[in-house]
Parts: sequence; structure tokens; C-alpha cells
Amino acid sequence: MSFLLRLFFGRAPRATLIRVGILVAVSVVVFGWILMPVRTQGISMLPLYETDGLHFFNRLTYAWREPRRGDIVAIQVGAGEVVYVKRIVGLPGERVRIEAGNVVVNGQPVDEPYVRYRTHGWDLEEIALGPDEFFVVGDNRSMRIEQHTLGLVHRRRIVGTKAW
Amino acid sequence: MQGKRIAVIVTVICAVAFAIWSSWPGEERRIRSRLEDLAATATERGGPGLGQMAHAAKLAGFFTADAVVDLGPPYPEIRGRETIMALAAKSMVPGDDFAVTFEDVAVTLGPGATSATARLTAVVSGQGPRLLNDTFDARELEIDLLKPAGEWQLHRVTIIEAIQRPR
Repeated sequence: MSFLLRLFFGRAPRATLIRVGILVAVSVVVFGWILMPVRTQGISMLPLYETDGLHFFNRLTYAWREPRRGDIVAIQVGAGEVVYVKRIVGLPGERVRIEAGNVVVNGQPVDEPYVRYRTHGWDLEEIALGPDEFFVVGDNRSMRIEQHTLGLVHRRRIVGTKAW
Repeated sequence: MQGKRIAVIVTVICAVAFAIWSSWPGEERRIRSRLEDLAATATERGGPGLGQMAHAAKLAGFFTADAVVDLGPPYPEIRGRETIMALAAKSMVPGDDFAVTFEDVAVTLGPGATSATARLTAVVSGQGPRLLNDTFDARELEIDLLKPAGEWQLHRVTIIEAIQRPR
């Protein structure tokens, strides 16, 4: 029994308990309020994110700056247990369309070096974004556009950006 | 010694009270349980032929006779339990790893506890009837429930799109 106690708590049980307490508190703060762990499912963000990958999103980034084009963001579904992971390609007030898998904003094609896969049928008529609306899409444009979740998202649903 | 005994008794009473409170079958708990049953039924594989028909009937039993499922444009509303049953009977049998779960369930009871609204995230994973090659999908739902004959039934299901596809 004393061997087990020594094994788990060491020679200074009080110090060990304090260390464990600090570790738990730091974990709760970091993973509850700062970093959001996300296990990705699906293929819409290939080749960057594969299915079953574990990634972290920073909840605080947008506390001091607005989302930018190219940001990979977590989009809240429901109360936030589930999020979509997409890339922002259109900002509030812009006109966005897709031509053959290429995003065109205000008439100018967007340079998207992260898109490696494209296929036929990726066309979308131009739409104008409202004051708090962003246009998001995944990097994988090789799947059928009908099966790819893309479109307008309201600012309040964007809850974090890729941490690293 | 007396103080210690009182502390033990109070702790035991609190634990028993908490256990009773947490297991008491209130309306909200009944609704959550009903939704869990619905997710489990949607996950089940009916099998071909009569099995599929029985499974469709079981699934449709969760809805009121005049239920409406609003998938949003461009899809037409699905109206009535019979239509839901027919669609479920016609859908393909899902793969072995197909699963439906409801996350983030929030229930608001209406006046008199005969109506309620549930907001939740429906998560569909695996190879299912409409997923084809997709492996995962999640949709926020608002569900109006009624209790017409002692059991909660889904009266209206509306999809709330977190990402709105341009029409």
C-alpha cells in the first residue's frame, strides 16, 4: 500500500497534489477558453486536413482582430460541440463567385495556392455579402460541389482560427 | 463525534436527494430520452424488404400525423407521417458504420408542458443513404414537439444552416 502511495504521490505528496492541481487548472483554462481541440472528419479540407486529424483552434484571435481572407476558421454549429472547418475567401461587402473552382472576388481572381485539387462543375453565380457575412469554402474542389458545404456564414458563428 | 455523525447523515441525505432528482422522469428528461431513441432508431439498419418497411414505420412513429420536415430550399417540405414513412422505406439501407447522434440538445418546454422546442446538432457519420461517399455531416435542427397522446412526438423539424449555400 505504501509502495503504491509512494508510486503515485512521490516522496512529497502535498507538492505532488499541488502540481496536479495546477496542471488541471491550466488545462481547464487553456482547453476551455483559449484552444479548441477539433478532430476533423471528412475530405472537404484536403490536402491540409485529413479525416481523423487532431487540430487546435485559437478562440481568442478574433477578440482583437476581424477574420481575414485565407484564414482557416472553426464555424459553430448548434451550441458548439460540433464545428465546421472552412477557409474564408470572401469578406463582408464583397461580391463573390466561383468559376471552374477558382474564387473570384469583386471581379478579380483570388490567388489560392492551397487549392491543389479541382474538378468540373465548380461554378457558382455571383453573390453580394452583407455587413457581417463571410464566404467560406473548403480547399478540396475535387469532390462534387453539391456534396461540399460552402457559402455564407455570419460573423457570430466564427469562433476560432487555426492555431498553428 | 456527534458533529461527525450529523455531517455523515447530511451528506447521505444530499446524495439520495441528488440521485432522486437526477433520475426523476420530468418532461424535459422524457423529451431527451425520446430524441435519443429517435437517433438510435435512425442508426439501426432495417435490412431489405419487410425489415426496411418495419424500420420505416418505427421511424415514422416518432412524428405526428401532420408533421412537417423543412430541409430548406431547394427541397420541398416533407409533409405528414405517411410521406416520412414512404421516404424512409424507399431510402437505401445504410452501411454498417452509419450512425446518427444528437449533440448539444437544449429543450424549452411550452406552457402546460404539452408542447416543447428542442434545438440540437444532428451528427450523421458513416456511409448512409444520402451520404454516398461522404463520411460525416452535421446540421443544426430546431424541433417542435407535441404530446398528443401521452408521448412526445416531433411536429416540425427545421434545419438551421450554419453555412448558407447560395441559391
